[in-house]
Amino acid sequence: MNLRTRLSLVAAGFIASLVAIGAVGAQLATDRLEAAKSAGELTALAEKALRLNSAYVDMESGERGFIIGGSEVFLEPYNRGEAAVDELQAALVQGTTKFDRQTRTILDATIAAGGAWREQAGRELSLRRSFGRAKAEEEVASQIGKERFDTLRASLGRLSSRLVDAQRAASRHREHRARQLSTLLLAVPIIGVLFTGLMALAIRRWVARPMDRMLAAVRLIAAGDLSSNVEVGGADDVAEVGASIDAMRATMADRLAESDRLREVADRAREAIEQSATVTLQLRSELANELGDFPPGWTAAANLLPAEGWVAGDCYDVTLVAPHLLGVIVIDIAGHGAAQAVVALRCKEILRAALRMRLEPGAALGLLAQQVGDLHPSFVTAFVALVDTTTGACRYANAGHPPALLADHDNTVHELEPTGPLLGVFAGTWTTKSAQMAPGAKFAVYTDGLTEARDDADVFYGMERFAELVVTLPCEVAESVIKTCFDDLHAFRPSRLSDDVTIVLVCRECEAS
Amino acid sequence: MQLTTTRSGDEAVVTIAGDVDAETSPQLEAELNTLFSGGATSLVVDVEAVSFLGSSGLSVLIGAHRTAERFELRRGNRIVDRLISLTGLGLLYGDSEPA
Repeated sequence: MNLRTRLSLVAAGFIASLVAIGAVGAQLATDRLEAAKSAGELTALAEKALRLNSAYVDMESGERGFIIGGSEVFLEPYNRGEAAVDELQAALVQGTTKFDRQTRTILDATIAAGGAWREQAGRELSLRRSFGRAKAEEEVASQIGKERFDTLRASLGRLSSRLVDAQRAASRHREHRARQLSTLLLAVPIIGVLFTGLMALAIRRWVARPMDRMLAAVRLIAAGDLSSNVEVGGADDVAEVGASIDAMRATMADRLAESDRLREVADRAREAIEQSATVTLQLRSELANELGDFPPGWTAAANLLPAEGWVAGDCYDVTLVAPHLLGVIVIDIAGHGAAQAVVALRCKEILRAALRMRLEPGAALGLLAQQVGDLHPSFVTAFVALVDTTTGACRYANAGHPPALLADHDNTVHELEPTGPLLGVFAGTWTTKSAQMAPGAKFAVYTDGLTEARDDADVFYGMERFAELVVTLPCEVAESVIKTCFDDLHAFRPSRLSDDVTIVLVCRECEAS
Repeated sequence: MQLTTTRSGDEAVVTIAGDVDAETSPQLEAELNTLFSGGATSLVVDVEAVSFLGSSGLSVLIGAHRTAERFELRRGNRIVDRLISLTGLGLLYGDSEPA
C-alpha cells in the first residue's frame, strides 16, 4: 500500500471518529434538552396537583359552611374551588397525556374520586336547600361524603407524589445526559492528540526511517561501497524508491566489476605488449645492428624503415668478417612483419656464418638455399658482397635482388645485377662476380621497398632517382648520405610506406691529393 | 588492377591489367584459388597489360605455378620480363634453366 493511501486512510479514520462523536453528542444534547423540558413540565403539573388539592379543600370548606350557615355567601369558596377544579383537572389531563400510563391512571382515579365526592356534596347541598340543615346533617352523618373526600385526598396525594417523583427522575436523566455530554466533549481533544501521535508514528515508520536508511545507503554508495544491499521498507512507493536505489547500486557494482575485468585484460595486454616490445626491439637490433668500426678510409652506414611496427622482412649486416674484409649482406623476405623478420634473421645468421667461413658470396647463397629449403608461399632475395679494404676489390652474388649500385669517383654507375634466382622457391645456382671500388667510390644496396615506393600520383620512386642522389652526394661520411636519402623518400611519400625500405651504403674515401 | 578470366574445360586464361602490388595481389590470389577449386588444372596468365608487378604479385604467380599441372606466363611485357630476368624466375616462362 503506498504512502498516500495509508495517510488518506488514517485521515479518513480520524474524520469518521469526529463525525461519530458529533452525532452521539448531538443526540445526547437533544436528549438532555428533552429531559429538561419534561422536568419543567412535571414541576408545573405537580404545582397544579397541589392547587387541585387546595381547590377541593376550598370546595369542602364552602360546602360545610353552607350546610351549617345556610347562606349562599358561605358557598362562594365551593363555587370558586369547583371552577378551579375543572380548570386544573382539564390542564392536568392535557399535561399528562404524554407521560406514562400510571400517572394517567392515578389522575383518572383522582378525577373519578373527585366526581364521586362532588356528587355526594351536591346531594347534601340539595338536601340543605330543600329540607333544611337537619336533613343535610343527617346525610353528612352517614359518613358517605367524608369517606369519598378521604378517598379523593388520598388519590390527590398519590398524584402529587407521582408527579414529584417523575419530575425528579427527569431531572436526574437530564443531569446524567449532561455528564455524558461533558465526557464526550472531553474525548475530542484526546482523540486529536491520539491521532496526531498516530500520524507522527506512521510518518516516522513509513517515511522518516526509510528515508534515514536510504540516506545511509546512498552515503555508503557515494563512499564507494557497492557491496551492501539497500533495504528500505516502509510504504510501497517509498520502498520502491529504495528498490530503485538498490537496482542502481547493483548496476553500478556490475559495471564496476566489468570495468575491473576490462582493466585486468588491458593490464595483461599491456604486459604482453611490453614483453613482446622487448623481443621486438631485440629483433630489430638484430635485423639492423649497429655497424662497427671500419678500416681507415672506409665508412659505412645503413638504415631500415619497416612498413609496419618495428620489425621488418628486410635485414642487413655490414661487418668485418676478416681484418681487411668487409662483408655486406642485404636480405628481403617477400611480405613484411614479425614472421618475415624471424626468417630474415635466420637468413642473415646463415649468410654471416658462411662469410666468416670464407665462402665466396655465391657459395654462401647456395648454402643459404640449402639451409632454408622451401619457403613457399614466401621467398627471399638477397645481396651478398665481400669488399677487400686494402685493394677495393669487390666480390658479390645477387639472388633475385634489385641491382646494387656502384658509383665511381667519376660518377659512372654500375648496376650489380642478379647472379642467380631468388631463394626459397626453385632450385638454382649463384655465381660470384667481381667489381672494383676505387677511391671515392660509393657502393649502395637497397630493397625494392625503396624503388617501388609510390607518391600520391602513383609514380614510382625508381632506381634512377636513387642513383642520382647517391652519385651527387659527397661521401665523406656515409651516415649523412643515408639520412639525406631517407629524407628524400619521406618528401616523396610522406604517408606510411607499403613495404619495408633498407639502404646500405659503403664509401671509400678519395685518396689524399 | 582488372582481371578477365575465360574458362574452357580444364584450361583457364587469366588476363591481368594494371598494377599487381601488395594491395591488389590478394584479389588475384582469390581469383586463382577459385579457378583451382573449380577444377581448372591448366592456367595461362596474360600479363601484357600489367603496369607493375611487385614481390607480393610475384609470390602469387609462384604459388599458381606450383598448384597448376600446366602453367604458362605469356612473355611480351617489358616490366614483367625484366622482373623475371632479375629474379631468375625463367621457370615461370617455362624455361628449363633459370634466366
